[in-house]
Amino acid sequence: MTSLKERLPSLGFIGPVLALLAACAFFATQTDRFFTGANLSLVLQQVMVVGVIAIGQTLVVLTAGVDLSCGMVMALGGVVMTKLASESGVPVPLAIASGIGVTSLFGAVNGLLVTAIKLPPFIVTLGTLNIAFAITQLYSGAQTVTDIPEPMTALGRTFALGGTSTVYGVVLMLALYAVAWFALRETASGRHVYAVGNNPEATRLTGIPTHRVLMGVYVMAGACYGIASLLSVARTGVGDPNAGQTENLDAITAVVLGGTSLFGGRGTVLGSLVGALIVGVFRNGLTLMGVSSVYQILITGILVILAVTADQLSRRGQGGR
Amino acid sequence: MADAFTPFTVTPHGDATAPKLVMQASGLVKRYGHVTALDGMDFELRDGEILAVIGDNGAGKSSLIKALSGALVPDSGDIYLDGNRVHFRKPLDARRAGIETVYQELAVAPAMTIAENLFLGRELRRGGMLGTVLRMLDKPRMLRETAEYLAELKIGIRSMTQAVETLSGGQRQGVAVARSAAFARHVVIMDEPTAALGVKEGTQVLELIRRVRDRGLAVVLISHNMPHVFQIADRIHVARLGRREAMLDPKRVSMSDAVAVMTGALRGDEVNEAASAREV
Amino acid sequence: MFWRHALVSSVILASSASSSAAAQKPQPIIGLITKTETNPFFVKMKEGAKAAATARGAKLLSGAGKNDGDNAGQVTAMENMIAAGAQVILITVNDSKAIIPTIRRARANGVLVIALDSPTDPVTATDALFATDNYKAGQLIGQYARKALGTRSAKIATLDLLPGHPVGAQRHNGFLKGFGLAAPTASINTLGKPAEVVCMADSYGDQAKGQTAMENCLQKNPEINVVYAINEPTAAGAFKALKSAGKEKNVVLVTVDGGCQGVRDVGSGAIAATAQQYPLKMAALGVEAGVAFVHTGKKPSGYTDTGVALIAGKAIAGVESKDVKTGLDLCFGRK
Repeated sequence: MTSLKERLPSLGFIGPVLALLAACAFFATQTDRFFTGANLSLVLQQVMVVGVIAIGQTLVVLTAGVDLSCGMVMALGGVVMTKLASESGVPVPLAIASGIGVTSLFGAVNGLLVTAIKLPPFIVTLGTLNIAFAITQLYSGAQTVTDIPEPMTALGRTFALGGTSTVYGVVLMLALYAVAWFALRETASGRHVYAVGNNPEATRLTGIPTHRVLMGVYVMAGACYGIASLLSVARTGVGDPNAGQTENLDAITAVVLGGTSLFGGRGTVLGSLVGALIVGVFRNGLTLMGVSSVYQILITGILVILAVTADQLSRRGQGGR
Repeated sequence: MADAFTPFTVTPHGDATAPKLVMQASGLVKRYGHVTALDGMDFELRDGEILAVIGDNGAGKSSLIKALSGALVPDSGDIYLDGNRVHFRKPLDARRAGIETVYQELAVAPAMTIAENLFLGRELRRGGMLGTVLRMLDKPRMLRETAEYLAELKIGIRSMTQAVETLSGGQRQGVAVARSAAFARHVVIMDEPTAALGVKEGTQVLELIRRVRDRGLAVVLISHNMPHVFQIADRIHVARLGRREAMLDPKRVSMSDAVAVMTGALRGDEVNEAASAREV
Repeated sequence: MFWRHALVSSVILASSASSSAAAQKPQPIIGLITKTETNPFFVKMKEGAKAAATARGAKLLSGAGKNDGDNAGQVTAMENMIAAGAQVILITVNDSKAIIPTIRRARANGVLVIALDSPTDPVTATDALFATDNYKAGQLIGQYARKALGTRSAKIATLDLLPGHPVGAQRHNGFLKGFGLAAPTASINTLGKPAEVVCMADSYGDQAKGQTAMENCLQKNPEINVVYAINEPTAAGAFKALKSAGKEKNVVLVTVDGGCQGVRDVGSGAIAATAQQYPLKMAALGVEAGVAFVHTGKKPSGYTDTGVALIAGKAIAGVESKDVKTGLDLCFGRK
């Protein structure tokens, strides 16, 4: 008896999809190098790292929080796993697990500070951002880690798909999005994330352990940043302590462009994938057109304002807060 | 002889002649430093009745309700449910015992649908592997049952997939009440159910409360709205200074008398004696 | 009586001699403020400063901003150092304009302020500037790239820093000039774009962004055969993209910096050539000038070129270059 409306994606998701399609259509008319299999596959690879970070960021934003530490934590994860594997001789799977373990631990710290000490997520993650950056610089000696064992970059290997090729990392990203989409939409824990973001007091009164939900969100987000760091290592072939400097804002941009509300409780994780693709498409398309990257920054800024405005207007129309 | 408005002493397992008590409390005390919220508050709720709790600010009605719903742990005193002593340390304990609460702020997630809100924290999972391994929700079943619960209480909302924030105040109250009625086994507690509503919607909620009672649940409600109290309550519990001042029968005393007992201008036994005298 | 007079006089003479000697040779206290603590470029600079200071009996105080662009941190460091008695400040400025009031106050109090590596805006706000000539650095690699390309017609991709940055503009325009193309002069902050430049993209000096920029440029024009990268991490990213596209053998990739990792990349053939800068020399010259100022009052002035050398894997006739081994001896970062 589920109505059609219940099964269709919400309006909040359709907007970003239309924007993405419009951008693609525009660039297809401006240059014939845009709409090729090779180029589109490239864009997917280019958004792969931010895309996975954005999954974690979406979880946090759905609880009306924000995670500014995501980029730096990702860099830390990348440095940890590459240094362990290349310099300490740790077996690759263990090194990868350690990197993801470290990023998840940072997520747990964020979660603890938010739930137990009740500090605002913005402030907490501003602090952990700096701590993660400092630890990364100290541990790496500000040197990029090269000479990485080949298996660690396996996700960067290409394989043929249709008439073109793509990398395994993209497949992993899409798989993670599918898992996140299912969990948020079809499981009780996922619905509880929305409930905590929409009305934390109500959620508490219905007996849901809100602290546990928030801790889960931050730890899962940390794990996402760890997986993103593996993808970054696979793509660039190095453990770069200076990576991730702008990824926190890039991820938040992707989440906002994807229609998720910064006030919590509303949005979709697939929207963040669309948001990340929008940014990637513009960067790629403008370069193909020979337009200065300043315009990419300008357009991204305009799109963010449009996206937030659209979210506000649609909620006002529904009589929401 | 015990009658409608003379308080009973505690009878752990009830006796054959007295109406069945679904909930009782005696001597509830709660202090916060120098402030005394409950000063030996007694309470009784009969099976299948609608009991209104009235009192001035600071009289102890909120604290009483919180103690009954597990949101407050009294310093001393006992609470009985169906004749058995109970100790509620948190709201979940009261819920598990079959007592549901409709909070004044409604405790709904506005962006989520009616069905999601109804089953919030009590979601139904699909059978088999989908439910156990993938932990997938049984959305069709939740939609169906939500529609049934609302229809049972004659709440006129068409689509269970509407977001709660699109509903009017009265409809939202209806959803909150339906949620409590759906899962309560003994008692539904309501905190100011008609406070935020206009005349028409307020009346509809009163009808709703009656239907909840008709389903076999006892209802305790706090209200400042005297006309509503007198329209709907079977009995009135007057709280004053942290104690139960009196039990009144709305069919036999007037609203102004009730207010007078509330403020202490008149004593409860005076009002009841006067009422009895009138009937003779 | 005479001997008593002589004793007293000689004691007085001796003490006044030693005090005037002390007055003539106060210990120079030199403050070094870098952009960040951890960038190997600045680590090397600090090493050079410390060595030079020790050699000349000077005391070195050091500080830095928290990150690239942190002006407030540098202001605080400068104020603290002057309060601690520093007579000379050597600074690599994070913000070429915002730091000026603090510098002006310092100079008004008689402190010598020398800019290292990055000029202030205007450049005269400091007593002197010891820095790499970034335009010249670009020219060196431009000349090399032109010769390395041989007779092929050039299709150039430039992976730049970010819009409006003076160092980025100087290296880019210098590269074009060295390559033999029409180019803006060293004082212009906008990037030249002659027809041979078929793609311009920004990398923000970041390896991953450099890779993305190179990928997009290759999509735009698969025939690119020359790549100029703003710095070595960007070049490393560009190389990865070239390798993934199977084009790394036919493309001449040049860049600037001379860090040890970058020089190793030249050695492995990933980068064709890099223009090496000398942060150690900047610091040493700065300390020398500072000590001279404290002892003699002589101030340095104007711009001193701290030198840049082309490090190339393959020497090419007509372009002077040093080999990789020399580059490794002189590089900054982990060897």
